Amino acid sequence: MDKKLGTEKGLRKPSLKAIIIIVILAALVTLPVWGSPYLMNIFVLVLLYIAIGQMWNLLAGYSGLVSLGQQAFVGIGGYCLAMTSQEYGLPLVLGFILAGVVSVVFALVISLPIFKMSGVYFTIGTWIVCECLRVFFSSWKFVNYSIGYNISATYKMLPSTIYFVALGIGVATTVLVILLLRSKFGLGLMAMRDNASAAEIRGIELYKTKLKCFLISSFVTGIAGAGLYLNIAFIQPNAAFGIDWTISMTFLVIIGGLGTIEGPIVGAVIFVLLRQLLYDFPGFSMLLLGVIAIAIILVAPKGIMGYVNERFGLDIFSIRRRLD
Amino acid sequence: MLKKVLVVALAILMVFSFAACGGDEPAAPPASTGDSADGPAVGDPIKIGFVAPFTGPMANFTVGIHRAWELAGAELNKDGGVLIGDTRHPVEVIWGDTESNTTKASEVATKLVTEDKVDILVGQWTPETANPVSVVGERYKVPTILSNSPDVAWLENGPYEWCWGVLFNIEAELEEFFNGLDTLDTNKKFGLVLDTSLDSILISDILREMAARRGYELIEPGLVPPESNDYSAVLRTLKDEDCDLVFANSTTPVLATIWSQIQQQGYEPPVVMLGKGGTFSADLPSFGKAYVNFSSETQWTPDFPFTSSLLGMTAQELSDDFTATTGDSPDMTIGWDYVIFDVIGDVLSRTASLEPEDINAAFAATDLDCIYGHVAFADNHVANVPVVFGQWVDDGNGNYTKVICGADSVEGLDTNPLTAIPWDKVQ
Repeated sequence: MDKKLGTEKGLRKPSLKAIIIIVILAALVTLPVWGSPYLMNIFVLVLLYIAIGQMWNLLAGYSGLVSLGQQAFVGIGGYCLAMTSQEYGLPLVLGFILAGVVSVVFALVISLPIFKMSGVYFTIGTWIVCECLRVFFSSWKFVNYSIGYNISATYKMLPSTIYFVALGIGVATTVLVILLLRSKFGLGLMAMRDNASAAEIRGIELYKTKLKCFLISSFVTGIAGAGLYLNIAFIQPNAAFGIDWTISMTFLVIIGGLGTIEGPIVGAVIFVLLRQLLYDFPGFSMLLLGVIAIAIILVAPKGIMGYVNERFGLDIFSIRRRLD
Repeated sequence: MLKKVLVVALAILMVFSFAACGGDEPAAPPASTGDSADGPAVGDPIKIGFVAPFTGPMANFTVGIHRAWELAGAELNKDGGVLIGDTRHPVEVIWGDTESNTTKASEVATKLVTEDKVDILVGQWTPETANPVSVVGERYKVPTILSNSPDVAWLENGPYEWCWGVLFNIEAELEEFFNGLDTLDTNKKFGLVLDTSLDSILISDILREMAARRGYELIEPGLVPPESNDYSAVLRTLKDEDCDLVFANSTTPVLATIWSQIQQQGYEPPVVMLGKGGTFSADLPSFGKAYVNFSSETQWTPDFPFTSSLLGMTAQELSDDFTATTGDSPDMTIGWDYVIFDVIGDVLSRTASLEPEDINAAFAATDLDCIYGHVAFADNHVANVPVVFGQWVDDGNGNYTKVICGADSVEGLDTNPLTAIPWDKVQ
C-alpha cells in the first residue's frame, strides 16, 4: 500500500462512509416530510443538475470529450415528455422512456460525423449539431414550430412527486457513474483521456469506448431533460436547445471539480443556491455569477473538490476499480 | 482525524446552507397583527410576486413598471394598507427577473411562491413569461394574473383554475389592421414576411380567412426560421408579385434588417406593417434617420379615453407622468403596467379574506372600467383588451408621432387615414 492510500485509511473505513451516506440518503428520502416546499424545489433542481453535470463530467472529465451540445439531449428529453403527454395523451412515464431511447438513437446518428472530429473540432461540432436542431425544431410542424407546448399533465402533480422523480434520477445517475468508473470500462476511459495512443496500444478500442460513453451520457441527459421539463412544464425550442443548459453543466462541473464524482454534486449545490440567491439582485445576477466563477477558478483551478482532494486527500466516492 | 472533522464540517455546512435556503418559514413581516390605537387592526403584508423580463432582450418592456408601482403602491398603502374585513394589510411587491428566459421565469416564479409565499403572482410580457408563470400558479394554487400575451396561445394550455389573463386577441387586432388599410387606395395585395414563431404562425392562419373576407389577396412566400438575417428571397417574391402591402412580424433587430433589405431590393411598397418589434419610438433610430413611416400594432396609447380605476388618472395624465419621470416618449407599456395594479387593487378591495380561494373568487367576479378599458374575465379566464392599428409619422426631423388609423374597437378614439410611405425621402 502506498503512502497516499495509507493516509486515506481512516476515511475509507466503511462504517463512517456508510453512516454518512445513509444519513444523507435518509434525509433526502424524508425531505418532503420535514422540508418546506421551497427547499423541496431547490433539491429538485440540485438533483437534476447533478444528473446532467455528472454526464457532462463523464464525457469531459473522464473521456476527454468536451461537448458543447449536451443541451440537444435535454431538449429531446423535454420534447418527448411534452409530446407523449400533450399531443398523444399518453402517460408521462412513457415520455421518460422515450426521452432516453430517442436521445440514444439521435446520439448514434450524429456520432457518425461527430466522432470523425477530435479536440476542439469535436466541441464545435457538437454545438453546431445542437444549433441545427434548435432551428429545425423551430420550423418543424410536427413539434408545433416555435410555439412549443405546456405540459399540462404536470399541473396537478404534487411537488413531492416531482421531487421523488428528481431524487431517483440524481441518485441513480451518481450510482451509475460510480459503478462505471470502478469498472474496467472506466479504467479504459481514463486511460484514453490521459493518453489516447498509449491506451489504444494497451488494447482499448477508442471509437467503441468513446461511443459507449457518448450513448450513456445522451441516455441519462435525455431522461434528466424530461425531469427538468416535468418541473418547468413549458417547452419551446429556443429554451430547450439553448446553450444555457451546457453553460450550466460546464459551470457546475468546473467549479465543483472536473474529473471527480463529488465535483458535479458540490457544483450543482453551489450553482443552484447561487442562482436562487442572485434572483434577489435582478440585473446583476449573471454578472455576479460570472465573478464568483472566476474567483473560484483563480483560487482553485481544479475546482472545489479537486482542491479539497489535493489538499486534504478527501475522496468520498473512491473509484478504485474492480478488475475481474 | 483531520479528515473526519472535515467530512463532518462539510456535512454540517451543507445542512446549514440548505436550512438557510428555506427550511423554516420566511422571516416575519415588519407589521404584526394587533389593534392599533385609533383604527382597524394591522395585519400581515399582502405580497405580490411580479415576474417580468427586467433584463435581457425584452427589458425594454419593463422600463416603466417601477414608476407604476410607486404610484399604485402609494395609493394602496395610503391609509396603511388595504382594508380586508376589519384588518388593514400593507401591500408589497417582490420583483422576479426572468432575464428574458422561460426557464428562469419558471424558477423565479416558483421561488416567489414557495419561499416568499406571495398572495398573488403576476406574469407580464409575452408567452415566454405568461406560460411558465401560469404553470406555477396552477401547480401551487396561487391566484395569478398574466398580461400581454395572445389569448389563443395562452388558452391552448388551459383550462385554468387559478390563472387570469388580461390578454389581446390577434384576430381582433388584425381586423383593425384592415380597418386602417381600407383608408388608403392600394392594389390590395398583402404579402407576408413571417417566421415560424408562435404569433407569426397564428397570424398567418388567421390572415388566410380574414384577407379573403376583407377583399385582399394574400401572398405567402413561406415561413423562415426565427431570427434569420436574410429575407431577400422572400422580399424578391413579394416585389415580383407587386404587393403594395408588406407585413412582417419579429423582434426589432430583425425588423430593422427587413426594412433595410426592402430598400436594398429597390422595392417601394406604399405600406409596410411591422408587428411585435418597432413598438417603441426609441426603436426607430435602428431603422433609419428619417421618414421611417411604417405602420404597426398599437397596444395602448395616451389617446385612449380610459382612466385608471386605482389612481383616478387619465391615460394622458399617466403618459405625461411617465415622460416626466423616465424622460422617455410615452409607449404602450404604460397601459399594460397600470392595468395590472388597477385589477389587483380592485380584487383586494373585494376579496373576503387573504385565503387563495377568496382572492381567486374576487378575480372571477372582476367587472372593472380601468386604464385599459373594460376588464371582466370570461369563463375561460380571459379578459380581452383592445389593440389598434397605427402608423409612425415623421415631421422630417426624426421626430415621430404614432397616428391611429384603425380603432373600431375603442369607442371615442379619433382615427386618421393611413398614408403611403414617402420612399424618396426615407433615409
